[in-house]
Amino acid sequence: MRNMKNVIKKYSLLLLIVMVCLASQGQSAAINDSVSAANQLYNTAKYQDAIRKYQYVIGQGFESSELYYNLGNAFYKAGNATYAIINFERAKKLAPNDDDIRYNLELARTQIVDNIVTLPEPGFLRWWKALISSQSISFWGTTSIITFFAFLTLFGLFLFSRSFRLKRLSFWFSVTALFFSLITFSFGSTLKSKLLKHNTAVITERSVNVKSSPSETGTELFIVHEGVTVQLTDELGDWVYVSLPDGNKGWVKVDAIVRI
Amino acid sequence: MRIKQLYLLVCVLLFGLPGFAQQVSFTMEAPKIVELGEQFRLAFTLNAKGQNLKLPELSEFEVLMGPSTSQSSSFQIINGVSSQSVSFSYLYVLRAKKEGRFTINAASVNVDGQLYTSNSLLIEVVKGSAKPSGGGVDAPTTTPGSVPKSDLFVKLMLDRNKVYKGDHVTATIKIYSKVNLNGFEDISLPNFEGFWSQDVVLPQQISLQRETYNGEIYNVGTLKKTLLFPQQTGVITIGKVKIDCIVQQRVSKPKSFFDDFFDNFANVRATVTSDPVTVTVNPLPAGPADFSGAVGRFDLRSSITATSVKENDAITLRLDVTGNGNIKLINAPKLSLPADFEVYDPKTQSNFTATSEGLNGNISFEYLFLPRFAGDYTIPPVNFVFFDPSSGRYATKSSQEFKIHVDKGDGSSPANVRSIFSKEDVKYLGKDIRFIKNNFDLRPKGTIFFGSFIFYLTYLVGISALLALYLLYQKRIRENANVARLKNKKASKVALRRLKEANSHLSTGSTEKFYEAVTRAFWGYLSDKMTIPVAELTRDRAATELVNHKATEGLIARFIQILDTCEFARFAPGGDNRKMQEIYDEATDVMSQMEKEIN
Repeated sequence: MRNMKNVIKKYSLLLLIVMVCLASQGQSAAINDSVSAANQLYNTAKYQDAIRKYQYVIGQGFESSELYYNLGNAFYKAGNATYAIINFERAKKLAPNDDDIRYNLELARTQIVDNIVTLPEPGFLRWWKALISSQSISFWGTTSIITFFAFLTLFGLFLFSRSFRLKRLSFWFSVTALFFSLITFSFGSTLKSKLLKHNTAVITERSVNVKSSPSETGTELFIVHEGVTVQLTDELGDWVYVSLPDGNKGWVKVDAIVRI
Repeated sequence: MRIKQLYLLVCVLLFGLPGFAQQVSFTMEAPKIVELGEQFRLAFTLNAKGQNLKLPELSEFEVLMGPSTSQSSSFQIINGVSSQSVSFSYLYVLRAKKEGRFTINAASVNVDGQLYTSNSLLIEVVKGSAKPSGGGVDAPTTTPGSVPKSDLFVKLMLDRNKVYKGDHVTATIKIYSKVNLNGFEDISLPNFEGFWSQDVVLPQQISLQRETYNGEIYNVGTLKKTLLFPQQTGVITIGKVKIDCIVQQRVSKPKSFFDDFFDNFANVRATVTSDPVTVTVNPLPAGPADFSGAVGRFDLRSSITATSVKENDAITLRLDVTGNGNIKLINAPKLSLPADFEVYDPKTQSNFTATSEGLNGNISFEYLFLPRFAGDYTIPPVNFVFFDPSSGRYATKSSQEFKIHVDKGDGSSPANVRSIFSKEDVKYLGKDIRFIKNNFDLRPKGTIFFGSFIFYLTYLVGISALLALYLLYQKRIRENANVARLKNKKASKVALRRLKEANSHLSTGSTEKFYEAVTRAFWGYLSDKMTIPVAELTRDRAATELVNHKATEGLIARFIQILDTCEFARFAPGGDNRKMQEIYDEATDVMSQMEKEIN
């Protein structure tokens, strides 16, 4: 009798899991339909409708670099370069090494008013950043795990082998593997913190006075126009401290920007 | 000689005459505007001999005199072509009886039995000015040397004051005069700033005509007629016209005897200026993108030189725009040719005449292009968009669509040669964003594998697996060590048992078994002591291991000695009981010695 009860308990749990899985499957199928419908609208040049559909999918709590990329494309085609830039930036954040995203972002940036010359970074730093963002987070994560298991295997070999030569070899290789694992882990965590921090933003107001202090009475330093990508370095009440790619910094009202 | 010339003259007269007499013209002339009570002349001119002139009804006019007939004939030879004209004129003097506009109907005349009718005339009769219209000469003015403004002035007139940009306004400069104009010395015209202007061709000679202005009759001369095409919007002011006129004026000197008989005339310079006028230019309504800039009414025709050619043969497509409007300012319509055609700039040719109604004429655009590669191409219709000011709308005329078939060239054309030696760059037809992606990897927001629980769990699982493995290994090593220790402890016991077994063989006298037992006892002892499998033990290995286990050299030598003796004796025939006993004793001694030295 008790045995029977146990079996029922087991199976009902299994059934519940299956049902949840199916339900989520159904939901994602509906979302996929929405996405293909949106793509279809884009193909027939109904960009406004496509924008609405893509935004609906995002509103349902889904995201992917492709989704943001397509939404950015639709905005670009509808003539809204600023929102195209916002969505391309979001897509780029998820897939830093995607060539299409970078190309379209560059093209959308040619449509904005300000021509801001990006400050050249030191060569090493630029190389380092390029290296980190050359792959996606999941790539770094998987690589870190794989190299960690390689380290474990080699270290195990070091522990269990009797041959002195094998021990020495496996030890050094295991150290190397651990080093790579840690490096890729740090790359991944850098990307992830970037992803979660939301410290990049795009100016969305047509023309914004950048002030020297976080108040309306602050001295006006310069004017930026919509579409410029800025870095947020500080925050105070309704104001954010923005840093432009050309090195200029100042305070801007938080409702003049949209965070990436 | 003379007779011959005379004869020729007669011949010319005889045969030349009929040729010129065939066209009979009968015209009626009178001033357009007359004052009430003014005498004026109504003249009929006939270039043939006519009879029975019938006057139209002239009830509104008083016939004061007429008809007085006169005849003139002329004969001329110009460049060997002779012409003769005869002219009969009938003159009436009339006087208008009342104000108004009156039509004098056509008169008729009989020429050689044929009835010819003249034109009809419209005469306007206005109220006369207070000044008595005396003879041909004006009365002396009160202030000699000056001409009153009401007697001589110039006006710049526009046919309308509101136009669309690009449409035309006709500006007419007229001089109104009641005085005796002798000529013009200097005419300064406004520069029509803001307009593109085109003069209407007028007769060289300025002829004065009678016209009424403010109820008075003036002799009016049209000096200039210009078509103005505004190039900017808003209110544009056209500046003044300034004319220096020479007026013949009668001067009255102190009365002398001769004055009554001879009038004194003097040429007086009078400067007249017109008032500036303004015109309001309205901008064109927002138009389509391919608006050509043409304003007016136009027609479009298109033609093409060839529709079937070989590679690199030139084709010319010609668009003809005909109509009325700002022809000279029309831009060439854009021709959308297939991308790899070589296209040259269109050749533009315009031909127009300026009339009071605007610019009439045509403009042609010739597009020369070379199809570079074989194939079938379509040249879509060209849209010519123009603004029609009369309807206030844009109108579009489309040309024909042309289909062009291009055959492969014979290979000698330059393009083919070029294509062998130099590759063509990819032609960028337009810059556009890249297309959307269709392969989706949708994830719920915030689900990143990196840093997730499972992610860290993977590491943890790996570490714990290794740890577990290591612990297991350690345990096994410990266990193995225990086995070895046990074996070590039991080693001498086992060895002694084997030696005892040898002893039993000794007593039975089986030599081979005895030696074998001794050897086994020794090897087994070493194997257990040093935890080395028996199979791996050799004489040399045993020696080195014993050295490692700190056995003395003498003992090792004795050990080797026993092993060697046993190996040798095992296969030697015939047993020696005494010798076996010796070896047995020696073996027992070495064993106990070894047990002491090795641990």
